[in-house]
Formats: sequence, structure tokens, C-alpha cells
Amino acid sequence: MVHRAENINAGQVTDRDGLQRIDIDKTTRTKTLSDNQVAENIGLENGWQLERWATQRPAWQNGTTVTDHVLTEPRNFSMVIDQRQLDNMKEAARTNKNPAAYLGSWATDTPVSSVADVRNKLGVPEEWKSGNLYVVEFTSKPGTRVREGTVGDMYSTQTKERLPGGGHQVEFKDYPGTNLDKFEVDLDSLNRVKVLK
Amino acid sequence: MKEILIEEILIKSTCDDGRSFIESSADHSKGSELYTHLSEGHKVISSKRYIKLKNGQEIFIPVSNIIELLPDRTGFIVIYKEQPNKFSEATSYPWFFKYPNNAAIYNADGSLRFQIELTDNLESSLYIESFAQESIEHPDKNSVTINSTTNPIYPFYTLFAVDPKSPQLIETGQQIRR
Repeated sequence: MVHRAENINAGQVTDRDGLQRIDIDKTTRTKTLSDNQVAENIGLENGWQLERWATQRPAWQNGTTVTDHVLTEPRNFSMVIDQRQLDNMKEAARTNKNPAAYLGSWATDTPVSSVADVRNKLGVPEEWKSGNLYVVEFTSKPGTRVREGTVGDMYSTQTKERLPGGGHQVEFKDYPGTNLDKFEVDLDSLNRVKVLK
Repeated sequence: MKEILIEEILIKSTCDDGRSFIESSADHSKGSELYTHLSEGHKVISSKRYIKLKNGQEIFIPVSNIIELLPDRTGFIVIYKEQPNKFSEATSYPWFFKYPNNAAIYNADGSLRFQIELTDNLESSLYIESFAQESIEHPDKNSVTINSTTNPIYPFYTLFAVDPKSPQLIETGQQIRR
């Protein structure tokens, strides 16, 4: 199924009351308070247990199309991970478990060779991923549900910079951590990984 | 009295063909040939953690969970999974803590400093899931992420900072992307 990016974006930047919840105010934490109140009303412990978070900017580039589909053949992707994800993947490999448990939800087939690529092409600000960053390679197997398109521009609340986006991105609708049979991490890539500069 | 400080954490693993690998928290590329070896079909049969002190002394840690150093190197944090790690030799207090308060800070000599408190509701579905990048608000403190056993899939995590002097976690309000 093909969507206009604007249609998906509209649902990502408005909250349950229909109000915009972007560029979170760190002082008043309006969104956090709002989320906690909604969570309490429906019997959850914390706002982050709600099904959806609003983000600082829409995930998909306006004017492009976003495609929901199911993979019919294996596909190789790259994912930017931080030091702790790498540590967890290595620990999983040591204990003969599937390191894919520590993959995130967003991957790319855009070549990523620097931190600048992470920030600019993939639109990932410092507050989402920082410290040592690495690129790990893995395969998604047939049957994996994905949403795929072009990275929208993002805003870093830390550096106050607009990140242009424009790279390719895929959002896994079958989350790797709970669909381990659909993902295979290249163990050798855990040896080859280098800190992005 | 002179404070005991930690130099690095060592992970010493042995594979089913007898090959040994030593990984180091001070040099993340050291010993990582292990993963090429595992990609060739070998399995790890033993994995032990050691704390190497500034004075060169190595202290065996009887659990094989992921360990993270405190920034001042006077101790370390262990986050426990739902079950003890398959390579852990110790599986009870003070080397195992159940959900929801499933983490603890230890001193450099291996003694327990305190158990970390996520909640005083022991029936809570929450638990401490993983270490994470330092938060913008508390860049001088370790960070952890929290999850729930009842609804574990979120596109973003909220960071909590760890206070090395108090069991209570500090909520930062900062989200990181999965």
C-alpha cells in the first residue's frame, strides 16, 4: 500500500487531543505531563507506555510516497547502533542467543560512513543517539512487514539545528526484538564495526 | 584511605574448540575476533567477567551480565535479566535481583553498594532493561532504559539517570530512538 508522506506524518506529530506535540519544552515538559495524565486515566503506570510517541518532526519527507509492504525475499539492511546496543548484541552472541533482539525499529540501505551521515541523511539527532555510533549489518527475511520511504527533515533540540534527511529508511512493523525468526545479524560485522567519525 | 579505582572490565571467553578471547571495556576492538569465530559456527562455552583495578589487581565477578563502570571508576553497575545469565556462577543475593528493581551498584572491591530502586511496587510490570547513552541533562551519570513486561514494544525509550550515591533513579524526560 502506498501513502502520501503527509498523511502518515499528520498522525505522528499530533497527540491524542489533536494538539501538536513537537519540539518538547524541556522546562515544562508539557508532553511528558500530558502523556502521564492520559496513561493514568487508562490504567498505565507511565506515559511512555502509551502506544505511540509524538516526535520532534515527522519521520517521512513531505512530497514523497511511503510504502507499506511485506518482504518477499531476503533483504540486507544497515542500522546505526550505539555502544550499549553493540554491547548487548555481543553479549547475546556470547550466550548463543540472537543479537537481533537488540536491533532497533529503523534501518536503511543508504551508505552510512560518518556521524554526519547519521545526522544529515538519516535525520537522527544527538538526543536520540550519541556517544560511540556503529553500523551493523543484518538480513530481514521474507514475511517481514515494513514501511519504507525517504527520511524527513528532523530538528535537534540539543544543537538547535535542522537535519535535512533525504536518505532511505525502513521502519519495521514486525519489531525485531519480538520477531527474532525474521532477522539475522551478520556476526562477523560485530567484529568489523568501527566507531563512526 | 586511598580510594580503589577500576581500570577496565575484562570479559574472558572460551569457545567449544578451546580458543580463548579477552575483550576489554577500554578497547572495544580488542578480542572482537571472537565474533568472526562465532560466525563460523563455534559456540562460547565459558564467559567470565573480571574487574581490573588501577593497581593491576584483577577481581573475578561471579556474574556474566553486562557491567558498566561508574564515571568516577569507584564502582560498577550490573543490570539483571529475568533469569540469571547462563554463565553466571552466583545466582542469588547480592549477585541477583529480580524485577522490578533488577539492578545494583557495586564498589570496586566487589562489595554491594546498594540495589537500585525503580519502584516500591514490587508487583509492578516495569523493569530496568538496559544501559543507554548518557542523558543531556545528566551527562556525568550512567543512564538506563525502562521497559514493561506487559507491553514491551515502544519506538522510543525514556532515559533514566543513575545516581551513584542514591538508589532512586532520576527520570530525565529525554527519549532515545530504538
